[in-house]
Amino acid sequence: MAILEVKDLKTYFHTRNGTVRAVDGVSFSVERGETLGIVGESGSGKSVSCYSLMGLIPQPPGRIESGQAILDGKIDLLNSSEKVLRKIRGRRVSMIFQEPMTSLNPYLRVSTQLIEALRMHEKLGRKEALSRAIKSLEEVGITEASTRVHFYPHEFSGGMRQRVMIAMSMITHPEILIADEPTTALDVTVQAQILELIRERQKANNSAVILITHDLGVVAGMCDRINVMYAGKIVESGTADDIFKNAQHPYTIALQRSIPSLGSKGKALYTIPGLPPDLSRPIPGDAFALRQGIKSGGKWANTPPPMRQVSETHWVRESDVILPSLEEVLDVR
Amino acid sequence: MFKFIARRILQSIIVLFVITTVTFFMVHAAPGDPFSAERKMPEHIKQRLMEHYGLDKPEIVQYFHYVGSLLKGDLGPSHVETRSVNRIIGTTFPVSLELGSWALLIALGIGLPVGIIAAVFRNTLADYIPMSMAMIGICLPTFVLGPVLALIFGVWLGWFNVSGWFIPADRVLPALTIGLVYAAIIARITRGGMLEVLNQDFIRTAKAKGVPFPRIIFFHTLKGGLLPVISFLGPALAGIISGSFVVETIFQIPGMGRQFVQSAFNRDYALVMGTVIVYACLIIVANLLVDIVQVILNPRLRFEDS
Repeated sequence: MAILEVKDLKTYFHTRNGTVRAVDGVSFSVERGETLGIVGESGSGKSVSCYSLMGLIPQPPGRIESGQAILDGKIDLLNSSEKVLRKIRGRRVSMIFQEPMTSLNPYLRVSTQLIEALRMHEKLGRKEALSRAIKSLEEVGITEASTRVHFYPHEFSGGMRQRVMIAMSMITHPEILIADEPTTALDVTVQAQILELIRERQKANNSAVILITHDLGVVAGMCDRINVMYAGKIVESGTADDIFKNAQHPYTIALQRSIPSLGSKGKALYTIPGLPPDLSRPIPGDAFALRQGIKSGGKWANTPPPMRQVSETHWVRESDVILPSLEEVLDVR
Repeated sequence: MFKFIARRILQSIIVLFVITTVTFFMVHAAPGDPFSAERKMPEHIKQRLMEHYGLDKPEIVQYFHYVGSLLKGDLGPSHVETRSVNRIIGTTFPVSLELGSWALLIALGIGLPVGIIAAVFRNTLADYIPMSMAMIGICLPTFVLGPVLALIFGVWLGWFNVSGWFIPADRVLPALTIGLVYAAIIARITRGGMLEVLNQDFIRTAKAKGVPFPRIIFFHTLKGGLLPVISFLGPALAGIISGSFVVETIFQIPGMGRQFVQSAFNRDYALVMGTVIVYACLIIVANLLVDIVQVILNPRLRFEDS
């Protein structure tokens, strides 16, 4: 059974300029030990959907309009009391953030922040918790952990801080780890190490990982299954093979064309024309078709396109957007 | 840390010396002298007085004479009163210190909680109402607030004496007058500081760890949120405990603030010097304390110093 099953999640932000439908009916599930990638460009709702699961949406202006997120077949993360949820956050579901430089509290020692979750959730004594903290730092490859555990965050570099973040999120052996663009703010050389580390900690704990990113390269190497999001909706969902070898939705194909390695050297990189739609206005049909410079047949202009099953693992949202052929794109350059 | 404090104390001595010198010559350069009262004084008596206090000598001689006795801890005789400056400050400063301490207690006791609550419940009534009142408090000068408090609680309700400094209850109204104004400022600064920290990414991290809300406020936010308040308190502290001329005049309190102003009007050279030096010392000590507290609260400062 899936460790987490999200059904029809809708998170809206009620602002002065109208209601922003940041996440508009998203459903997915994750199994134990599995890595699910959520990809999409900025503002596609990938972060907001995971923040909703962690109760990190500022309310107001945010509001979770509907949906369920069943953890382990028992607890609904979206409709439980704060008291129940607090016992889950940081213990059964934990999170790594994009900005390692600002995600650690600069006024507290790393040790204090590491043992906080243990002391709260497992009611460990200070000594015991500290030795667990040192062990967790060693596990993420920080040497001299017994000295460095007492450092302040500013005494670590960016990559080191992200390691501390991973240690902190994995210290309680969570069943689900949500990683929100964990490598975006890091050097390319450090990125691979951090991803490798996440994978290693995942194996050690048999955790499920939800990896939010806009980097298809990261997803390709890490994920078992992938959800592609656009304008608050999932447009394609499948295994890594489904998505990379048999992409169906024009948006997924366009995203793949944007990977730099596809073109020849010295040519301008491919970019998807136009901008994502303004989510504060209701979108009756296919959101991708609304993009400027995108041609479509107009079949889904006013009716929401349904999901179509391609294979047992592969689902795609209907779309009649016609992308120019790859040769044409290459010629244009 | 000790190196830092030692260096700061050394700096303070230099600052103090400069202040002493500049004040000395400026006071002496001001027109008039301690004995130019409205009623004309016979010339020969004035001459005797000037000789007695050494004011007939060249200024530079007077200066070295003054610094010499200052180093021995003697602030000299008052030129107007019969008491020595040491005695005057010795009797008036404790009064201002006591009043200031009560005022500070009120300012922090009201300002901090109100600011924290306003920040936590921002953009609700629990924010708007206290912050509007704080704005009024900041705009209201003590010479309005003092008499109004005296009128309400002294005259109409009769709970306290309107003025004087005799029984413990006499502390209440003047302490409130000073304290409420500072409470208003502190509340606003606290709110700003707390909001700044509450919007930081690491607060989100704490929430994601399942840290209970009160702990997020008092453990994760407060340390950083109070930093602006601490920096404000440095100069404010000296001002509060060295006495307020206005409040001491309204409530007839024998504090140092009145001496400060009166001595300047009277051209009481020694007393002006004495009060300025005490005030300067207070500012220096208060700022040093603030710096130490900031280093304790903010670990990032510690690193740069060592």
